[in-house]
Amino acid sequence: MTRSIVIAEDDEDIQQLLTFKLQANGFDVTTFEDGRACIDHLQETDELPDLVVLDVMMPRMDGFQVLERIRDEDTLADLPVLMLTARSREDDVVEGFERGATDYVTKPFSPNEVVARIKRMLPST
Amino acid sequence: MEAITLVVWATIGLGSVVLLVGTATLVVSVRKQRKAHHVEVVKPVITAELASRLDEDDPSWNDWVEELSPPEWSAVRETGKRLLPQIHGGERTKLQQLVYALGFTPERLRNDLESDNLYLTLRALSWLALLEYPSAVDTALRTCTWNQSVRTATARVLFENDDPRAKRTGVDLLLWEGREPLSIFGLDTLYRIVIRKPEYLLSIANEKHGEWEDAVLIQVLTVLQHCQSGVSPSSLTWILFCLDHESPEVRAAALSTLAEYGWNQQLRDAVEIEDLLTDPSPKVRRIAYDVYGRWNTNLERVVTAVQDEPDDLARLVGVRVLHTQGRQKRPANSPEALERTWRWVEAEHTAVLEDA
Amino acid sequence: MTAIDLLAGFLFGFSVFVVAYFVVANTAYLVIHLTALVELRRLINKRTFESTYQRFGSPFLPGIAIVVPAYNEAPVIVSSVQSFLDLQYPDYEVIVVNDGSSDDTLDRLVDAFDLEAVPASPPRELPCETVRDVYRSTENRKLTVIDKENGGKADALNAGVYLTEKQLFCAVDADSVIERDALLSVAKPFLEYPERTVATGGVVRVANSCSITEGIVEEIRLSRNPLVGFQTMEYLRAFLSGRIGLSSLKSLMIISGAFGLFDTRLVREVGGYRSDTITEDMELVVRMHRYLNECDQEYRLEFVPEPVIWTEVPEDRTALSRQRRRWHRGLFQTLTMHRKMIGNPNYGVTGMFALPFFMGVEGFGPLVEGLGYVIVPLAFVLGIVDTWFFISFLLLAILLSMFLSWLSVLSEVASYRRYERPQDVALLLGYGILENILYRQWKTIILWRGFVEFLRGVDSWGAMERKGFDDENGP
Repeated sequence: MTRSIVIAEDDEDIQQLLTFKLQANGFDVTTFEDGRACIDHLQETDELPDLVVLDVMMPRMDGFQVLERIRDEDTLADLPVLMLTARSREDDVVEGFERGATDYVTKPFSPNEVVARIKRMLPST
Repeated sequence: MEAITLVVWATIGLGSVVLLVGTATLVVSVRKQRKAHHVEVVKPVITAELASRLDEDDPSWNDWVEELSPPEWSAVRETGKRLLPQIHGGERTKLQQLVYALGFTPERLRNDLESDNLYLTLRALSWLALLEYPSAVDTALRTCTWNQSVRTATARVLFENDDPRAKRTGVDLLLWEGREPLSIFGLDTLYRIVIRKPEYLLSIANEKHGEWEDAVLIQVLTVLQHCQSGVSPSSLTWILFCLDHESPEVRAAALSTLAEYGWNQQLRDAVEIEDLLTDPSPKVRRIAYDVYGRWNTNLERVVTAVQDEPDDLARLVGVRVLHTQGRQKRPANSPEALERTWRWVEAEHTAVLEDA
Repeated sequence: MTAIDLLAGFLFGFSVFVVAYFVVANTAYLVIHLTALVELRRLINKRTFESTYQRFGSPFLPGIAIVVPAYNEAPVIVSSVQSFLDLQYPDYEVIVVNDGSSDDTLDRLVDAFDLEAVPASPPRELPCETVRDVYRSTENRKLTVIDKENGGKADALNAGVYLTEKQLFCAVDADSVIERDALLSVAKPFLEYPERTVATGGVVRVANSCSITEGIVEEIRLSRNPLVGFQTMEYLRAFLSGRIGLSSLKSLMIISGAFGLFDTRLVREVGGYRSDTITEDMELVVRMHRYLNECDQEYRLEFVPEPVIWTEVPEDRTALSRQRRRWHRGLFQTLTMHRKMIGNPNYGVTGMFALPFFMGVEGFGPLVEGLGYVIVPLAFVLGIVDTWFFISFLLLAILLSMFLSWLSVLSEVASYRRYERPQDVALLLGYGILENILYRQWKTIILWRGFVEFLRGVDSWGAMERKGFDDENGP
């Protein structure tokens, strides 16, 4: 079974790089450039992804807001969410975990490490 | 008549200049649009190729870079420049090799570092911070000390390159003579250096804090405030003297810093926190309330102090302290200002509880 | 001497006066524009490098409160607030001040952002009209809404300025769209010189004809409506040349109310916004200059040409005339309030150059120009002024004005290039010619009216105007 991942990230370069990396590791990847599009997709789709990667600073609804909505919605609440952001201040990391992030990775990041973390977060099959 | 001739000639002269400006505007506009368009067209292809090569063990950048057309080349450079500061690990090394292949060699950077053009030098330094060229770092240390922004960028290069000289030379470059306050970039650099290797800054601060400008002293204190994990409290005793400084800003900064190391009994005992609760400056009192609340279980002194606190913000901090420490009953017969602040903090508190 | 001789003498004398005034005013403009060109070159050069650090991860960036006064903004408020919440800056809050709107501005906010009233009044008495309630968003911790009785724009701004605990505050208009990186960019002087910078202002650009969805500018277009086009030209000239030049001459006297970043503590120290002024944005900046000069403090008050806020400008003459008359009344009111500083060496450059410039050139310049349109042709018709001289002078005047306009278009194209399409640039150049015919003359009439209104003491907002601030921002 292919695992699927949703990425919401407005930086095109990072988005492409991650997509490539994850696809090379056998994941199915869907990408969005803003928070609104991402949450709309999650709420409407029949096939939930196995994991969501969220940037914090995005247009049309930031990553924290998206995370909050995911945790508030019964059908989505259990989704593992990895925050990937340049916001590495202590209070931001704390806020991320308080709002229910499963993991919080700050930029600059190592793509290999992110892939490893993602694999670790998914229940083994 | 001479005046007329003058005006006529001025008109003709100006007319030609205006025409020139108009033509130049149009030409520049068309050329820039073309260039941007070309880069935009090739960009998706380039980024995809870049990502795939980054994933290979040997990206063979040289072969690729040689084949690139000028717009492709621009697109690669822009993407590399954007990605490099955001990536760590194996991919970073590969990106550095790409930048080298694009012609940002140590020789070229060294030339720019030696230039006396401010922005050229700064540009070279910001590249150097992203790349690892030890020879160019030496050049930077030799030539890039002639103004504060250049010195700051050089210190950053040392830090980013993990150069062992960062802990001493880096700090010296930043503080220099202790006259000019740092930029936020400089503050951040000092912080990153000191959180790893604090000894040197602490020893010169101990020695020289009296000679520094107030603004610089405040900045050093602010940096130390954020360095808890790296600094041993016993090296901070000089800050106790700053609590008697004539400038309220310095007193406030000193107290904020000491507050972070309050887990150390010795340091805590040396601070006369009760006196600071009645400091004439509201800036100091704001910090003092907070510190007092964190260090003491008996809050009667704070309760009394907020009663007559004239400064709105200090009163707010004081009441917040009482609340977080579990003192939630409003004192009887308190003045209107305190009542008001109390109700607000009460509401804040409930909201936080609901949120959690 | 006959009456005719007397008239002829007067007309000739006045023509000479107009010419002299023309020379002085244009010299001032030329100096400012050329300084701007040099400064812009430096800025473009500076833009080629970025200091290497993770700004968003640094604990030292100053916190910012975006203060958004809103009166009857129901149609746009939700999308603009969402856009203010999506900016790239690590530590900021958004405080919307509902200034007693009579429409459902507040309800829309409550619905869209799950606002809940804080069951207490603000912790201190805010220096503004009565605050009914303070709301916090349960969905986004950054958002606070103050609901208060109507009191005008300055009053609404004060509510936010005195509530926030952030070090800086950014005043913006509720109907404007701010670019996502603009907050970081307008804060740059505060990051470079944290100890000295007291205020900075960004660029206001014309949003008419641009396509904007959900608070994001998708496509930038130049309007085909000449009235809007002329204003676009004016804004470009005012911001990309005028303010860059003035800022580099340490003479920036206006930070547009639509987009300015200020040191909160200092603004409180000088007493906040004054609600009895017509143009509260200019008055505040002049008052800050005054205060800082009187304290003998070294300070930086800068214009930053990179960050942009997009705003709709009036599309018809009535609204435009009302806006411009108000600005002109405001200019004279501020100058009158602070007349003590004008020409006073104790106030440094502000007293000796900036304010005299604003009074003599910006204030009286258009008025003298207006008189010139009447008297010089009259002198010409009566044969007092030489034909060739008259024609060349007229041409010279138009050419000079074109030169300044085109220079700022060139600056735009060479630097920030928001208008990407060459056809828009060509059209912009066209507007730079056409504005000299009729529009410019019409403006002098409008500004004369504004001046007369000022003299007659029409210095309140007027019953209707008091409430709307759709025409707030601009050069």
